Amino acid sequence: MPLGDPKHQLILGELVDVLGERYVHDDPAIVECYRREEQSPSFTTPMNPEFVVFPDGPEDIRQIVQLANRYKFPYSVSSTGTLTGYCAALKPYWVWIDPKRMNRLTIDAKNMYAIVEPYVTHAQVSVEARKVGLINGNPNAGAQTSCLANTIALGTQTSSFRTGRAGRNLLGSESVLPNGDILRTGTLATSEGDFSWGEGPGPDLRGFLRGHIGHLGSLGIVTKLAVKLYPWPGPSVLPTEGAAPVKKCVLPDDKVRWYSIRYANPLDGVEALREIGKAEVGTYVGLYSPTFLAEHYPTSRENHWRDWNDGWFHKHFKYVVQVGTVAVASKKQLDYEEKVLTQIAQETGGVFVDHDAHDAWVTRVAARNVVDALSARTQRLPRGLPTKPGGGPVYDSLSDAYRNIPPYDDLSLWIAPLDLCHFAFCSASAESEPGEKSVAHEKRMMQRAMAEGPEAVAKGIAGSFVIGGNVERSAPAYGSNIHRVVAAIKSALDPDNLANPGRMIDMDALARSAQMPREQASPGNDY
Amino acid sequence: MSLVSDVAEIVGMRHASDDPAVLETHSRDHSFEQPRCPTCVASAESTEQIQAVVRYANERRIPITVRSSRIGFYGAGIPMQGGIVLDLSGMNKILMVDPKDKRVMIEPGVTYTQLQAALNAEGMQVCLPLLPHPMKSALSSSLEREPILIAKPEYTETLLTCGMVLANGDLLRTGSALGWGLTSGIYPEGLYPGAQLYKGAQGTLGIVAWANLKIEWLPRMDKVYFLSFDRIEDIAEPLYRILRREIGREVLVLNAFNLAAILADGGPDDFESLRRSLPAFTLVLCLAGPQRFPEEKIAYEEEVVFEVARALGCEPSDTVAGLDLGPRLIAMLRQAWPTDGEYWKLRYKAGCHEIMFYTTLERVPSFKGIIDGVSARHGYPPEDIGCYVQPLEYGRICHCQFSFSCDDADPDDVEKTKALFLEAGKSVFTAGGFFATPYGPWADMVFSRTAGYTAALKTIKKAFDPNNILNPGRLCF
Repeated sequence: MPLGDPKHQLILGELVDVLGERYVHDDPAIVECYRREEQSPSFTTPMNPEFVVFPDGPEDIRQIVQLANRYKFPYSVSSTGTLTGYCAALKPYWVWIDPKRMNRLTIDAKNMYAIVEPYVTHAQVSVEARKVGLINGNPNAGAQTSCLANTIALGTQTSSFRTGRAGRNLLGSESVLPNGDILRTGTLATSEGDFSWGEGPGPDLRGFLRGHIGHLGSLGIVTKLAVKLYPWPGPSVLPTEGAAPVKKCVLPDDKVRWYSIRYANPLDGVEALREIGKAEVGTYVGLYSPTFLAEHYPTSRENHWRDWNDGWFHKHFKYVVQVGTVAVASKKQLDYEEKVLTQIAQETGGVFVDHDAHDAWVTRVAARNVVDALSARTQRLPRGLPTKPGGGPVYDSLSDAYRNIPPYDDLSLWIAPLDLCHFAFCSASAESEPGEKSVAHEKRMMQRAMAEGPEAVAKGIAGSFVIGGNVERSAPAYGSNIHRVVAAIKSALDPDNLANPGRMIDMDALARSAQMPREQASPGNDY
Repeated sequence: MSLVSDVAEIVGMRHASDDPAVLETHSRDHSFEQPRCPTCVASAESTEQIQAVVRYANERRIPITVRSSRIGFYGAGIPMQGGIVLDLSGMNKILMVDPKDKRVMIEPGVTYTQLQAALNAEGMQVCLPLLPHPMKSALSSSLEREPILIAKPEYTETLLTCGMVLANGDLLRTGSALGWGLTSGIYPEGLYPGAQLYKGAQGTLGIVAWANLKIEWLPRMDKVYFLSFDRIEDIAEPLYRILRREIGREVLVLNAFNLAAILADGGPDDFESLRRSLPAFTLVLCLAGPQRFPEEKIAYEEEVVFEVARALGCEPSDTVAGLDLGPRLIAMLRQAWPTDGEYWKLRYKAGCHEIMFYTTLERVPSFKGIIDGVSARHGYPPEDIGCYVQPLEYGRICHCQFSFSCDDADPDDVEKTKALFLEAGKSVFTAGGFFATPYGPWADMVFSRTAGYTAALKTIKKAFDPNNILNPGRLCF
């Protein structure tokens, strides 16, 4: 929209009244920076937002939402800047809420939780928690990831063997709903409450905050929440050396130990995971292919291809079960777990990786399992490409994880068991240099999935996230009508469809498909 | 046609009744809730029958209240607005036991007794709350968030996925059970909204027709320690320190009244004798040795327990009050209460009324003080108050439960105990006790103080059940 547009000027003036000039921007040079769509292929075509605003807390956000309802402008919220494609502007007058100023962090050491605002990163939580003998679930998403956003959307963790899926780590939360109401959940729901527990009262609104993914800001803006922390025996500061991309970290052997057990094929590795789950040893547990490990190891693109072509990874790490054990009880726990792992390796045909290769891996990469602060992920030069039309990883049982490994060699494979192997995450992607070709490939795969229909989509739960992410598409694909219920909730809380419109559920598309005005598309008694 | 004959067409003549005696049975439970008769009681035998009954009721705006257990202590199965009581206790098939992926698939009428009997053969267990009634539905217990005895986070959230009949009769499969494609269907999160939403709903958002629950491997070896305390003020620190080291499997605290009620199998005299001899509070800590090298795991955990105890000046013992109770108690805790004995909560008097809430461990003594104060005002003997503290997730929070016994056949005793119960509950809530699953009288108390949450719940309820036929009158609906 032209900057001189009367509605633009009206909205600008009102936003400035709420936040002050310093925290409202409509300069094209600034808003252009909020257009990018990285790491999140989709069918949407982003445009520049018309405004970028920087609130300081829930009251600021509540006022912005009230303005949106008064002047009918769309808005979305980002966090620390990962996966911004899910909040990029799609319509005129779009206000992008950047929570940069909302970066406060409090830790309750006694009761093991951290209260975070949207701009607090996982790395910050990890650093502060370790000072008091605790640690957070570590995402496989980079240290800069917002702890809040990663807990309510996606959030598979390198520690998921113990910390489970991210959503299990949600405690009390505070949101501003699209109607301007403040929603506080769990123990925080009562006026005297704290953040210490997440359930209830009554139905558990943690399910309202997220399913597999979350509502992407389309049903409210989470302004604060508490996440669970877990016991950590130390050290309180990671002993690092050097700087990325050659940063090293070796944790003391009486606190943390790493094991790499090589298997001839992934099936044997999965059986080993099952036994590890049964024995309940280890904290950081996963099964990886050489390709996956190679993505996290190199210091440069040249080194990556050199090591790859030398066959170093294939020789030492195909396929490998990696386990990090942590001395939460005492050093004797480490000795015990080592004995158990040795027995499991023997029984399942595993071979401990040669010392030199294992040590090289541990020194440079293993600590990223504890906190993704070694920037290893930023060294990952190739781009992962979906290997099947469904696109995304599979979440179900460990048996399903194995069944869903595509029959191709050289895949970037990661199987993460969750909650002591109660369920598992399986990601299998092909590798390619980044560029237009890889993006085009992803789009082709998504289009194929859409064309092939429900079964292709249903092969991967996360497929619903990658493929446009909208529940009105994915629910029917799975044979469910839950999108009708979601539409009713969305209509009730956001009748003008202003909160990140088009994300999570596309009310306009739903209305079009029903051939009726959006306000009449809510299901009433007939969903 | 009458309601009962319409429903009989769906479930069969033998499974629909408006016999006053049957209606009366379904009008009450062991709670203080006002009895209310349904118009009809129907027993469903399949998901399809549930769907048909719900569709029928939805078209005619008839309330439906579900019962899966043959016993109730909290009033959730009493039909507040009449209508149909849908009894699912006959849907009691164990559909699948899958040790490999540690899950069991069951229907709603499967009891803990039945389930654990099946799992024993596999060397596995379902994670149990404290000695559930033998007729308690395992699925209901999980939906109602009854706290499990094992304080490990990985064991929590025992409900994996389920098939839920919505108010219009559609079947919603949650998590990765949501449709075709994947085969196991046990990952809890699927589409938006997440499956957590349906827990604690007391049947107001849908009727669960089947579910997958977590199961766990039984340990190969156990060693039970007891720590005895005269004052409740002294239990928090040992628990914080032991659990922070991730020590122990079943971990709980019982006062003398509750522990005596559990252990006394020789009648009232035995109960009285035990109650007098047991410590005021007993921390039960089970060290469990898993499948591999169980002795060594127990050994290193034992060292930590003694290290913490030494630092705090307390003394772990494998006996309590001189009694070698460990093996017996742990065997009891891994089963539902036996079918042939009087239920432990009803041993002292015929009625037991519990105030249950979440709080942090360090705040437990303040709530104990509140309960004692209110009880004293009502002339209730302090030694007759049951106290149970269940640490959750390495002690980040605990489930705290105080119980009052009364003679249900004595109107005076009922009236007096009810007055105490209500005042004590309100006092606990006012002081910050969190009623996550607000049954009966606690619903109004909680939802009148959680305006934002209540408004959001009502929006969600309207989307799921626009005609408010599912257990109307419960919670804030």
